[in-house]
Amino acid sequence: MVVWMHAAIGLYSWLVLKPVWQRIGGLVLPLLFAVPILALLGFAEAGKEVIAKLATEPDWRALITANLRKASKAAAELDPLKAQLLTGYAVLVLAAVAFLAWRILSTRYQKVTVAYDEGLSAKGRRGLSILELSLLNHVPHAHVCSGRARCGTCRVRVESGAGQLSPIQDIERKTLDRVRAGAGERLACQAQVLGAGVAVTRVLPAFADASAARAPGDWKAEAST
Amino acid sequence: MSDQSMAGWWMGVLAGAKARIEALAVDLAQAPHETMQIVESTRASLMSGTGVRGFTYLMILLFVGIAVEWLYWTYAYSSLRAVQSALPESPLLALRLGLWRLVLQGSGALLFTAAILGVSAAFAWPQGMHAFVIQMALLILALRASWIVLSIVLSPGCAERQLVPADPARARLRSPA
Repeated sequence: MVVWMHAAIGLYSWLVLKPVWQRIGGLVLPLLFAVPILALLGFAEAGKEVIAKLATEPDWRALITANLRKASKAAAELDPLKAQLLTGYAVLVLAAVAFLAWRILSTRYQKVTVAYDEGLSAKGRRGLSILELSLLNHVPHAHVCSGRARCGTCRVRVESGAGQLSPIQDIERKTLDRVRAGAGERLACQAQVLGAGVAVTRVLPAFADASAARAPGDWKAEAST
Repeated sequence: MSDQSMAGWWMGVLAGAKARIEALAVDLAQAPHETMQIVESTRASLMSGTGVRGFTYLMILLFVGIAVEWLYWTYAYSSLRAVQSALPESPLLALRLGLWRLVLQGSGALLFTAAILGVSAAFAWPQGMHAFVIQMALLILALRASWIVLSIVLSPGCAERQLVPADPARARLRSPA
C-alpha cells in the first residue's frame, strides 16, 4: 500500500503537468485510488474464505500450520540480519539528520532579504530558495510541483541582485525553456539567495494551477493583461 | 491567620504536592509496562481474523476519504490559493475572505468525513468497530474544523486577514497554519 501510494503520488505529480492530462486525467485519477481499494476488498474477501476453509478442512489447516512453523524457524534465523540492517539504516538516517542540522546551524545567523512586487518582502536564512523564503514569510507564491523544478509556475523576473542568486542548473534551464520564460526569469524553487539586494517580480498569480504548466503561453498572456 | 494555622496550611499544601508528585512518579514508572500491554493487545487483536478484517476495512475507508477529498481539491485548490493570496482592504472584506476559506476548507473536511461514514455503512464490521470508526471520523472532523477556524481567525503571517487582533508571535503560537 505504501509503495502504491508513493508511486501514485509520483505518477500524478508527473502527469498532471503534461498536456495529455486533460484527456486521460478523468480516467487515471479514479484508477489510482480504485486499484488499492479493490485490492483491499479482495484481500478481505479472500481472508473470509480462508477462515472458513480453516474451520472446515483439517488437512488443509495442518498443512498451513506446518508451513507457518517453517516460516517462524526461518524468521528466527533472519532476525540477527534484520537487526544489523536496521542498525545500519538508523546510522544512515542519523548521519543525514546531522548533516542537515549542521547546514542549518552553520548559516542560521546569515540572514538575507528578498523584495517582491506589491511591496512585499521575505527574510530568512542564506542559502534558502526564493520560494522557500516566500513560503516561510507567507508571501503568496504559486508552486504547483512543490518546488521540484517541473511546473515553472513559481518563476520570477529578477529585477536586481541576479548575481546574488545561485547559478542556473540544467534542470532549471530545461523547465525555463519549456515554459518559454523571458530574459532574466528564474525558477524561484531553484534560485538560492546567497546575498543581499535581490528584488523579484512574481510572473504568475499565486492561484496558478497545473494548467499553467500545461499551457504556459495562455497564463503568461493572462498575467500580462 | 495565626502563624500556627499558616504553617499548618503550608504543610497541607506541601503534603498534597508531595502526594501528587509521588502519584505522578508511580504513573510514569508504569507507563512503559502499560504501553507494552497496549502494543501486545493491539498486536493480538490484529492477528485474529476479525482484527485483520477490521484493519483492512479501515484502510479502505481511509483511501475512499482521501480519494474524494483529493478529487475535490483538484477543482477547489486554485480558488483557495486565490482567496489566500488576496489582501483585504477592510475588516468586512477580511471577514468575507475568511468565510470563503471556511467554506472551501470546511467542504473538503466534510466530504472526507461524509465519504468515510457513507462507505462504512456498507461493511460488516466486527462487534463494536463501527461505533469506533464513526467516533474517530467525527473526532477527526472536529479537530480539522478547529484547525481551520483557528487559522482563519488568527491568520498568522498576515495582519490584514486577521479577524481578531493578535500580535504575530502569539498568532503563530496559537494557530496551526
